[in-house]
Amino acid sequence: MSHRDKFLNRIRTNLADALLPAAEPQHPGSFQAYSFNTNQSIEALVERFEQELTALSGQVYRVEEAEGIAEIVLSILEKHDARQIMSWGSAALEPYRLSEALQAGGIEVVERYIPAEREGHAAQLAALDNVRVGLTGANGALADTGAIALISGPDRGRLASLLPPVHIAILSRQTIYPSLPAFLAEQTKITAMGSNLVFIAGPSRTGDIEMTLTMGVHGPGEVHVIITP
Amino acid sequence: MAGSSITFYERVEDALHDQQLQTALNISTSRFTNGRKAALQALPEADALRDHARRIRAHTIAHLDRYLGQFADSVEQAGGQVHWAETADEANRIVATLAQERNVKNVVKSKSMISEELHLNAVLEAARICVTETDLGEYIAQLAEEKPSHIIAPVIHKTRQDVADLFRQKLGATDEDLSDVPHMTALARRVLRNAFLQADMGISGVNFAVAETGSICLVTNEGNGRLTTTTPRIHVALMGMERLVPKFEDLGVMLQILARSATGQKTSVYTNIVTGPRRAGNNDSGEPDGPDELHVVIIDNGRSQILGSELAEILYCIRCGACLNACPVYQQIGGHAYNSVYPGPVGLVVTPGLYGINPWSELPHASTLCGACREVCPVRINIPRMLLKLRDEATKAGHYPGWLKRGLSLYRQAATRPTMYHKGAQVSAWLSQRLSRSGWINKLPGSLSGWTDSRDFPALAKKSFSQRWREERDE
Repeated sequence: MSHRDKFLNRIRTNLADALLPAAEPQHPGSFQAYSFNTNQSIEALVERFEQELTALSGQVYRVEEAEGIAEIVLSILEKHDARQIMSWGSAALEPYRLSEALQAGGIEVVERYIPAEREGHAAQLAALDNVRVGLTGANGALADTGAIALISGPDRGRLASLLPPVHIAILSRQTIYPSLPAFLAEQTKITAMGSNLVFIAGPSRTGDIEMTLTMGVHGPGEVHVIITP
Repeated sequence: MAGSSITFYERVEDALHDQQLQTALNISTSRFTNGRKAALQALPEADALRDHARRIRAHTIAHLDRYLGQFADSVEQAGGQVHWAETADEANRIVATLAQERNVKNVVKSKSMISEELHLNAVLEAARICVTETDLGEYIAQLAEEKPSHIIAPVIHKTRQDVADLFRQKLGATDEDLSDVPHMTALARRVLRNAFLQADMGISGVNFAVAETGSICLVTNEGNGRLTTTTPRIHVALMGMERLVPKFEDLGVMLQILARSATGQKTSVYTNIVTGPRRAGNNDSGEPDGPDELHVVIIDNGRSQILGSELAEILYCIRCGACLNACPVYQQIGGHAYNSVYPGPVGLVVTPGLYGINPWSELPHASTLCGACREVCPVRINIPRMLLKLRDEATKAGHYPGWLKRGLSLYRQAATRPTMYHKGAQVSAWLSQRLSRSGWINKLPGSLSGWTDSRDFPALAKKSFSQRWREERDE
């Protein structure tokens, strides 16, 4: 008998004696009672998203035209005196026509493939750790918590939203969902797109020392979300 | 496991007299409790959600064999490897072997209760592997060579001065590094960032695993969970066998209540869902970062024993820590006094469940049975019911003090002989009147003095109830 079969058999045997209050033979199905999920205009969702993310110390910008994006990105870079930006692949950010503007602004766009072999892996990571601003898109957002959703993929690395102390994300206003349950219920196939789906609700935070709220302990201490038309 | 020379009651005594601990507990438990309350009140369907979450957990546990099998298949389909560990030793051996075969020197860990249960760090260190805890609280506990004292906030028992002293001693911190909490946090970030960049293996726990997709979900506020599962080439996820939900959308229900119950946040900052290792393409055209190997270690370590008992309901637990903060006993004694990996009400059930009642017979008594834990539990686990069951078990196994046995046998003799009972009641009433001052006794004699050590005892009424009953009836 395989290790797995032995393990599962032991569970099966013990289940026969288990006292399990409220256990049902059928899966209880979807949760239907959300008051918040129904009939909301895009504008209402954007409003709520902005309100929630701002409350978490994230910064929200709304632009009327795609051209406005580069301006905001450049101003954040300037504020941090940064000449490099760690970015999602150009294919993923193509629609925002950023590369020219960044180039014109003298900004080096850093995209790296982290190799599997040990030395190259460590060396590439160490090199990336010096980049102070990261730039990504977003695959959706959650209005009720102010979180953005990022799914990994060939042009959508995880590190750009994780290593640098500043993270800038570009979010299309059409992709804001009312809540996490609403997002997951609709995006049931999203795990086929990439190995990592992450929801990010504002800057990294901790309260581990005397419950004093501190930002940016491991992840970015600043999160900027630019909402496009 | 219990193997401490100090008794539970001595640890409680120490905790009660630790002024610093008392202050920390006061602040943290009331802040968490109020936060939780506000967060759930702001959610109009909170009660229905909790009911639904309970149904999901109950259903999952009732079909655990099927869902675990499905989960393992899904993980493998996504390119991950599954390992089955019946005992803590087996789990440790699996992880140590994985590390040694891959020549791993440095390991980073994100917070995982089950790794505390396994005592994994000691095993890896014995194999000359350097292990770094990366949750700030866990890191501080590791530097101090202590155990975490709360599921969610591991070092709530420490002041900022304690941490500053520790950083000075262990990290060579300067006065500037220690000038305030943000500076101290920045120092820890620098040290730990280095560990992340150099680590060959990241070890995480699992908050929830999804049977239909093979995904594992990790929630953190700091981002160490993301780093642990991203920068090292190898990711090992340690998972208690009950941490499952059947469907992807079930995660939505559980996550809506987890952070709210734990810290009063609407959501944790990072909800990280991992499905297999990074996906490769041709010539570096796959995902540019993320681990190349994912190993999920599914661990029993006594859980199937709990499953086959009247304690099975405790396996619904989602480890939010709300019952700790709500418990009047935890509020007074904190996490260390329990001396078990899982403190507070949930620990009172899980610990004897995993390791048997004999080494842990005092634990089920560390409760007032007030039901606060059941009230706040997001999946409505009836902890008091199981505590009664465990007390019964402890008594049957002979774990009760001699004075209780003698006292109860005396009471039985009196209670079954009416004349003796009435005489006894009269004498006690007379005595208690003599000992009391304005209705309260502040020092009881002999072995009864335990009661009055920490509170007064009310004097008995001059006339007993039956005496008054007779008099009133005759009027």
